[in-house]
Amino acid sequence: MSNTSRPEDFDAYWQQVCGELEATPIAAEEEHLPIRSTEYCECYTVRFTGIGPYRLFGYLSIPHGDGPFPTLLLGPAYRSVVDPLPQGDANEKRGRFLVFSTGGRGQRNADKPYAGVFPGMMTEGIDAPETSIFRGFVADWLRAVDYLLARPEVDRSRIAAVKKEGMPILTAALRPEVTHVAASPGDFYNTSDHVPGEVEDYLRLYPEKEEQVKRTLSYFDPFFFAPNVRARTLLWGNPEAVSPLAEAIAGETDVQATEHSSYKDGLFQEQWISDQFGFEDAIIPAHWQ
Amino acid sequence: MSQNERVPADQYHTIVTRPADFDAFWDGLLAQTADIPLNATVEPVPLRSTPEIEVYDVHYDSLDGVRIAGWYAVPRERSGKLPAIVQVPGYLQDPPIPRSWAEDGYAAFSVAPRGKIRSNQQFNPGYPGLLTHNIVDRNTYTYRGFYIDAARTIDFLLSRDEVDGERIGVTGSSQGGGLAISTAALRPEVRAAAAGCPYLCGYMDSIELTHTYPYQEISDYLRLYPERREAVRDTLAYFDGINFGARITCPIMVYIGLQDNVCPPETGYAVFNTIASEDKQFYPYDGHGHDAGSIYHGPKLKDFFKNHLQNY
Repeated sequence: MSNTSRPEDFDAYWQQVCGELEATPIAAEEEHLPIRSTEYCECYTVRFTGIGPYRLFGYLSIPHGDGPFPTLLLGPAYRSVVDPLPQGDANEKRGRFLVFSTGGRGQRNADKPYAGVFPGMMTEGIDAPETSIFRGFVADWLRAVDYLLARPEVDRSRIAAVKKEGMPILTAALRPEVTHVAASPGDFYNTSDHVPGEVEDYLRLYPEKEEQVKRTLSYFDPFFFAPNVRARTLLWGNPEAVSPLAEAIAGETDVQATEHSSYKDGLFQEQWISDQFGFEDAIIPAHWQ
Repeated sequence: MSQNERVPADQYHTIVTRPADFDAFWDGLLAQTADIPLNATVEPVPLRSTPEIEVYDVHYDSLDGVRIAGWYAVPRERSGKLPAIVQVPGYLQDPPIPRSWAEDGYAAFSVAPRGKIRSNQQFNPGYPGLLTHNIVDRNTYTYRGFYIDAARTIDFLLSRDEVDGERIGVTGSSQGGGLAISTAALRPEVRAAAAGCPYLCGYMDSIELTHTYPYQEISDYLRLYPERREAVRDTLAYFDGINFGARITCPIMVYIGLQDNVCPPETGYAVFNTIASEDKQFYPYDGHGHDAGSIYHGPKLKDFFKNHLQNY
């Protein structure tokens, strides 16, 4: 199990976030993006509002043809750039899947008024769970799900949240409409034992804040979200280290150890998602064929 | 050559040609840059410093008056001048603080060329977008300034008292691999270079060999503007790592993954074959993609720089 203690007000904290989302009009607006559209999909930029209120950004790619389409939610990663499709993915995937690639607050195209710095964003407001930037960052993942659920082209039986970090787990717990998850435990798993490097830097400078910082991080530990994740899940990581998390996830969960090869790991993930969504073959890039 | 007609990567022939005035173009830019005062500022960053390593926030002037940022990390304890390493970033990567190199005894500099966060106040075409910004004009194309910003790191290191200017290396992967090649080609002060899965090599080859981002940005552009293909090809020839190879004479290692879905392995072979260095090593990793076998290659990388910059 995680050695981090579950905050007593954990559920209330996240109910508050969900309540704020519910009270915030999403006010989405799409703009056609011809340069990223192809013979097999149309691409749009999407502006929509998260808690704060804060204006967010995403790339929406919709296959040509009759939907609804299996859907990939590629929510915000911890970096500045938001790309329409992950680097290295076969672009032809956008002809099979509806793809929504979104940026959270602070990332490019969602960096006004708040521009995140990398490294640095991780400790923004970290002294308290109410002020941590990740309160909003998680909410931004949830808001992306809200946007998808309003789209008629989305196949509600096949919505996967995909990112090799912990956020898809948090998202699936708070948005049960997510049917599939491909994730890793991420930086906030079991932070009693190990904190991310940026947090380590922060605590070196402010050692007196260790207790309050670790308390903040505990609100984002995927272990505490796991019992509410009913999605079919692929969890990347060292099997021994992640098995407590995998066991805590309510949905059926496969654990896959990395082979330290972006080719082998990537191929596995593509095939896993294709299998889950009922496709015989995965759409993979030329050099993986 | 289409994706369906692939030949083995080591037998691939690049379609890149070298403009007759390639060297004149870059020598002119280097001369222009040499006249620009560095105006470097170097501010300590206590948050990122450790008892062993001092980290600084650096800014300096580059081509077109663009202010460039970087992280500089040096060991606090040192006797005599230090060998130095330039770490150049990937396309999507936010430049990291190069503390691990400093922990190995180097003065280490991690640059954010124009358009990267911290260097995007004056120039910010975005991602995606940076790869095709002004792509029909070699005199304003993104990578004209971007390459110079990376090459300018050498001027910063040479300005530092603690750095031994005879022992400077450059390393990076993906776009960092491409920048390692361009920097080693543009700056003879570079004594050793390591390029992992180099991007920006074989641009026009790559858009035929793979349909993945970031090269997909060029395909996207040409789908919208097919009539500009010749102009795009002509511009990119001035920025192609394959055309920089002949200028590289320092010891260099190139490592790639044979299943690289981002930077086609064919282009890794192509650039390696053009490198003029007598001391050059090539490591193709089967079963690996854009990671370029880094799990195995990491120790070789460290040994390479140790041998060329520390134990020479």
